Amino acid sequence: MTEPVTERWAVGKKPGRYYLRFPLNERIQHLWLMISVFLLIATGMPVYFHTVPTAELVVRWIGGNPVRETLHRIGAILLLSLAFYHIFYIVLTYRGRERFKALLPTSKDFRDFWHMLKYYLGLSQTKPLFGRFSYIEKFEYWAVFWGIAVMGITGLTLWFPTVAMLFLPKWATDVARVIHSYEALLAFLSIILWHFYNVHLNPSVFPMSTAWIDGLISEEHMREEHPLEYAQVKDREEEWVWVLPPTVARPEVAAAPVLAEIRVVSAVASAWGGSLVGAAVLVPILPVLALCLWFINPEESGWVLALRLASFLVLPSSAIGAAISVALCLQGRSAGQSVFTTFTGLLGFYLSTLSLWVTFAAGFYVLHWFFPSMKIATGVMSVLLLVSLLLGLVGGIWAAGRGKIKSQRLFHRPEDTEPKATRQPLSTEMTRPENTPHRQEYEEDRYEKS
Amino acid sequence: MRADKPMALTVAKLPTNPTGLQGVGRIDFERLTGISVNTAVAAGRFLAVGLVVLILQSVGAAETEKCLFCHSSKSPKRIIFKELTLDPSIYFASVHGKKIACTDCHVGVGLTLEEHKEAKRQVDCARCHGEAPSVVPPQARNRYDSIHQIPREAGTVQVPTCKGCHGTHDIEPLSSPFSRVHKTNIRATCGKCHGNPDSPVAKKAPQTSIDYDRSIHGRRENRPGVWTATCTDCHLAHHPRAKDSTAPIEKTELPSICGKCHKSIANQYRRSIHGRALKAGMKDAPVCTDCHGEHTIRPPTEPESTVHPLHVVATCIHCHENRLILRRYGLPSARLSTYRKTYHGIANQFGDVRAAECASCHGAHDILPSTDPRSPIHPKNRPKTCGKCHQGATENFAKGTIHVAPSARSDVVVYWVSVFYRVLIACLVGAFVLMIVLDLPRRLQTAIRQRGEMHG
Repeated sequence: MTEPVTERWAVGKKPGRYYLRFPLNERIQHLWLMISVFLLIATGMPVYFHTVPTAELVVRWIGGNPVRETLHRIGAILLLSLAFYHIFYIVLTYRGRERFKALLPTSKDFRDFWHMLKYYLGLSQTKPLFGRFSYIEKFEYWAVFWGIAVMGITGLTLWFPTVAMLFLPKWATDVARVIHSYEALLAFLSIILWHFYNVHLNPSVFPMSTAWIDGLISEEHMREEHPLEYAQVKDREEEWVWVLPPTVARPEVAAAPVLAEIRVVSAVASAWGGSLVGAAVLVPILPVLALCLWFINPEESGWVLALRLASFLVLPSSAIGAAISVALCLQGRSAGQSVFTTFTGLLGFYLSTLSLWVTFAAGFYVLHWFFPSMKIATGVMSVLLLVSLLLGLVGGIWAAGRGKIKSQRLFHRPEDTEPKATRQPLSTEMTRPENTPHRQEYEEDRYEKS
Repeated sequence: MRADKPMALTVAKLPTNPTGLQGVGRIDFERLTGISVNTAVAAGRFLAVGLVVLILQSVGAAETEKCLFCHSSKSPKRIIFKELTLDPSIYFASVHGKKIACTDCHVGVGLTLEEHKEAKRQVDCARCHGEAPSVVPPQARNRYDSIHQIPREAGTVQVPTCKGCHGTHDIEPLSSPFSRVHKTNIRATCGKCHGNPDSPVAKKAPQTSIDYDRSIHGRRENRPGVWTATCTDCHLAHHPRAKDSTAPIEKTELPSICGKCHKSIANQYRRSIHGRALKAGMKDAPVCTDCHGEHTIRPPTEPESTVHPLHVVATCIHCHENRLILRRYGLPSARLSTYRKTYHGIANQFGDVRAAECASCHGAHDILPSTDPRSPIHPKNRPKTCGKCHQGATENFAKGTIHVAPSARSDVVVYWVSVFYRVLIACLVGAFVLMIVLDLPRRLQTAIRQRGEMHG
């Protein structure tokens, strides 16, 4: 039991102790799944929504239906190869077997779910204590497991109809096609609503949980979300990673000269930067916007409407971005910090507004199946829009706060954290922790305390 | 007719004032002599013509020679009769030149000016070329009762008569490539009105001859030796108009008209359900032009064609989604919407020409109902039909419906599976939204508390 303590200096990561939740192998599996599912959704949705003019637009854009078919099949091969790889992983490796056992549903999950409902409704003051995987994560895993099996079998039937119909009557392939399309929609809605809520929009992780990139979750997060597992692993140092403050981990980076001494230059730069990010932030929200408009009005081209709406938004958004950025700069932040904070704030605003709006839109879309003649009154729509905007405002302010904290590390200036007098020479007492226990030394170095 | 055609021999109208002396010395002349100019010229011509005819008759000249003495453009007298002259060589080279004298057409030419004018109107081709037996061979005898006659009877004179298409003194035999009604020249002859934007018919069908030039019949670029259908091949030059309509061609006759060249296809069509329906008197049944277009006919390989894989669906549903027609003949409905829900329909909509469209399975000219054992969609023939694209298709391809809306009665499994999924998706989406709505306030609470701790 040697203890090679890993030391890192991660950009934008709070110094502290992190648990390695997903090793590289599992992160690659997630990336593999993500790429193939995105590819499959992008090339499959136009077929489901073929009545929408946007669908034809998308298909023409990617080079016609034969290209779309080929890309979809490439996605299918990627997904199926991942499925086989994953089966080998959970059968052949020790870690895989352990994880698989931990993912099997138990009676505790149902009790936890019930407990959680009580907690939500205020009937219980405590949250249920989760182990390695909560019932939410188990549900997501088994949904993907089931989804890949169903989509794989029905998809192969559609890919090779002649082979399938050596054994099956034609109506069975019709059933396969119906299942394939509805299961795809179910997977798509699950990802958009449920998975994205859990890993993006959830206030604990907003704007994104970085665990899928570096595999790390903080000690606080472990204590909060996986207390049972935390109790087991908190002393196994080899499974933990230390993120050190930049002054300790990379003195040469922290000591780099700071350019933004002149406030005017800084203000002009932040005005330009703010207006640019104000416009640029519309690009990532464009697909979400198009999706909303798709759901609300399947007759019209959502993509075109979204582009038109964005072109109306681009100037106001840019102006607001510049204003916020300059205001932050005049409060004493560097240009980089204010522009970054503006960006996260605006992104938070748009994403929070649209996330509620996409939920409403998807709800209406599903309602239309059962009440095809249903019309939504303009009044109802305006109220929903207002509610979405309100949530957007809250989300925006909150995201700007997060952005401020992140930007302090991204665009770190020593004078932000240290008094001018002690800035030079660089404190020589701050060195790497030589040996365990690191914890106390780390607490002393924690530069937020200054 | 217009004067700008290369071979046209202009016989212009007589001017209202034959002297052509308006304003120039006219008043002086009349004041001096007390005789009107018209009278003087008429008297002069009368004397001159009378004199010449008398002389010619006395020397025993032929009829035509007598006319040409004044009416030849080569004659020294031509200056007086400028508008009424013609090059005798052109007339003698024409189909009539050898045997027909001027007076055979210009019947009853008298010596007075009025009688002379009258002679022009007396020209009536039907004297020889009518239905009654005459000197001309039977194939050159016709009853001229085409669509062109209708406005003519109504008093409009701009429609072509015989000379409008055939010309006057320069008529060539039909076999001559210089004839205006030779196969190669018909398009230009008809195009004088039907491709001319100034013509009154341009309003009704402005594109007709332009469309024709672009069609497979009009282009003929790849087949220099083959003469494809021209205007008169379909519209039949002297054809009687349709009995109870003003259409140029009776709908029931179309298959035989196209079948003049497309023989085997016409026979296929006559055996098909559409051909049989037409024969049974159902006027809604489609004929060749309903699917292929008229002047715009193109091969199905061209994207502009109405029977190109990407357009044939729109062509078929023109009737098969027409509620009136569906109800009148008891045809199955929702052909388009159910086809568009199949993958074939979606790929076709996305512009994929490989995907099966109507004609791929149902056939084109030999369409038959699925109950007919000869039909390509009869269950027995389906493996073969599907096998055209899906090589190695088995009889399992026939065990199921193709484009029929699933309901609790047909396609039971598909119907109930889709109902199950709709309910499942609705429930799950509802559950997700509910969980998010419940979770969000608690998370926000925690986030705000942690933030307070961090700063406080």
